[in-house]
Amino acid sequence: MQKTIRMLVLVALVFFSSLAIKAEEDEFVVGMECNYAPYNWQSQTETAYSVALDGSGYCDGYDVRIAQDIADSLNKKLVIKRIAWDGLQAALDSGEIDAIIAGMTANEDRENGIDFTTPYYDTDMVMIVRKDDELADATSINDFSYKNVVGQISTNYDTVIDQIPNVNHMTPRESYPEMVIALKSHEADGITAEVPVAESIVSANDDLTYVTFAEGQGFDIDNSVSIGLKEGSRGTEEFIAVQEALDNISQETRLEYMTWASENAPSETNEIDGSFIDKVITIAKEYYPIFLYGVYTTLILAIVGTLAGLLIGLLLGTLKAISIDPQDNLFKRVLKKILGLFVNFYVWVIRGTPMMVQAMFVYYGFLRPVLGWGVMSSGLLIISFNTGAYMAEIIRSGIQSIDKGQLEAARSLGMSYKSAMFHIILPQAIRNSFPSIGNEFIVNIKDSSMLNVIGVIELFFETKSVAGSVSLTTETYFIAALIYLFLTTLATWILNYTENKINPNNNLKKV
Amino acid sequence: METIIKVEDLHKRYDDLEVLKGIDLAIHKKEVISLIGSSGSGKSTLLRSINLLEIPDKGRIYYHDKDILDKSIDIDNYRSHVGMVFQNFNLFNNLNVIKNCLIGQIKVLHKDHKEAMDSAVYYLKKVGMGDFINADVNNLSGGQKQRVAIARALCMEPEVLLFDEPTSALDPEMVDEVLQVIKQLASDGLTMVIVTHEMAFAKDVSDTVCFVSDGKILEKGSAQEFFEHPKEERTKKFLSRFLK
Repeated sequence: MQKTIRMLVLVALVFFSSLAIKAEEDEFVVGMECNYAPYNWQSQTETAYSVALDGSGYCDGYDVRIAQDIADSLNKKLVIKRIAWDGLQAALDSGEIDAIIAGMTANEDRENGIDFTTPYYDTDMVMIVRKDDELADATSINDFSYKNVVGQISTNYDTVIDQIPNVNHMTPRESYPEMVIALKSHEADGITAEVPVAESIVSANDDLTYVTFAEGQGFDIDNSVSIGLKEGSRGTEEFIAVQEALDNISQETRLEYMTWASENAPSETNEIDGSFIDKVITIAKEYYPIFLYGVYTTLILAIVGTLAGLLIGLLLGTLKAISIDPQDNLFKRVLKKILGLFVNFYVWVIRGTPMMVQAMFVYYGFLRPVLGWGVMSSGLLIISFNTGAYMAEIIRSGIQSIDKGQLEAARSLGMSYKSAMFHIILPQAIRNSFPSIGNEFIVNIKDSSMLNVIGVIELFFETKSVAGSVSLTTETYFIAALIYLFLTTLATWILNYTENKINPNNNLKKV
Repeated sequence: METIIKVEDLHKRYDDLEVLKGIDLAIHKKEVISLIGSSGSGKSTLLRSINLLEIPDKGRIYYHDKDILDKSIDIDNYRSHVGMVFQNFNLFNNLNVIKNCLIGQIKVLHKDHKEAMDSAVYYLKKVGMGDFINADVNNLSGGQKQRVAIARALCMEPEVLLFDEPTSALDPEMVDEVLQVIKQLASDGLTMVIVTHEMAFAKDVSDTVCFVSDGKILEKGSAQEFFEHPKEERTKKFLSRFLK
């Protein structure tokens, strides 16, 4: 028992300490989505300008080339971190990255939390439409009145849609590939985009084109993209150095980079053909490193979450099971009462709210702004404390299922309550609850997917990004389903095997 | 004779039910006391109160002249001197036979492993369980479990050993093996208080017999005197049911 607990604590500590994130001095760490061609995208093939990503393939694109030039000017090594669009500012705040170079437009909202350089690319806002649609001849945004128009979530492309009179403003989507599907299926009639993005999409999709608007007939919007640096850095040496490096990239070079990026942006949309199974196999072959990285993260979340959750559950479950002893003095009684209430409150809140909501609330409300934690360590903490509440209930009912004669016998030998709990009651409670504890592990393999909301790059997040890149939702999620099923099946086997080892007498097989 | 434990005017109530209504009892060194009486008379509660598994509402329990109901007394230390054998054995299910006998010695008496092991093996042999040292307690018969439970209590080398209906949960053919062990302990001179329904055994093993009825000790006497010449009507009536 002591050994088991010591081991649990050690494992949890090692994992948490290994997550301490700090940008290194001689590195220029840049955050981007790697899913926003031609600015940035992810691929499995190395090119002259691509930068290797931690664990899964390469990142390439216009942003990468600009970032490389700036890193070179700063005499630093360029490191690219793949971070969800919504998590970019968080990563910048926490010091996980030094800069956002992600095709981000400086607007009033963002200026509040990010210091932007001057633009590193400027472009017009256009509309992607179907080639065979009458809208292909549109010249004014007014032509899109009463039409379905969609834009990317949390971007200008979404907010500008309201400038079209009487437009049917669709629910924004996560990525362009998703919107392309909506457009092709006639769900949407137009997608807002910048010229380079539109160029790249149109070149990959023969049946699409884009319309530019005449002077004064288009959107009223600043479309330039800028480099985002940490708030409060304006005027510092770092900011000036980046700005100078950017100024040294000439207009010609920028155009050349964008042309190169538009030509080289992935166009898998047309490449994957054949039956459902053929597509599944092609996607699996092409993107297996991305899936593998997702599996790795998902397993870390599930394993650490379950072990750390078990520790929390042991502590809280024991507190919850403690009854007030008539021999206790007033102080002990009050303390037990307060601890009991605290545990009840904790379990009540955690079990009564979805982990997705907890993740958003704790990450954006506390871990990021106050502690400056990154997404992975935050994700681990959230899943651990979430599991802890369920474990507390499991351990409590485990303790209460133990015959009270066990405690009486231990006390009658002169063992203290603590000692009896630790050596006699808890080991039996854990053994009896093993199936439920194991079940939490299986639940965690699946539920860790919710942490994608704060940008933890686990299996679901990866699936979403692959599905986006290949524009094949069903096929990609079919692969994810198979992987999850494989992981949970494997976990079930291991748990059953262990259960039979530690509980040989405790099954009904003999009956 | 030296008095080890002295109970004075003990009262205990559960909500509306008054279980003990003023009990006085002295336990002398090397004395074997049997508590008999019908179910619900309070004899088990009395026994459990002596080990503080029940906290009395009123009265005193002296252990070598120290009042153990006083807050300043280390109850765990007191309990390590007063062993208890339960009706349902209460062997630790997570430990095998030998570890059941080791844990108290190591965690409470702080003996080293070798010393604890020697004494555990000695007492397991004494109760006839020497061949089951490494057995899983869940695979033992009731009689075997109770003998291990007795060995576990003996390992603490208690001054007094309390038995709470030690044979009531046993199949009839196993009762005897446990009673034989207790008889052996009595002849070794161990101080014991036994709650039992086995009248022949009580008569045979006890120095003193107490008849507990309605929360009081109604009659008390030497075994022979008690069983052959009971004074109280209720005692006679109770005994007549068993001795017919």
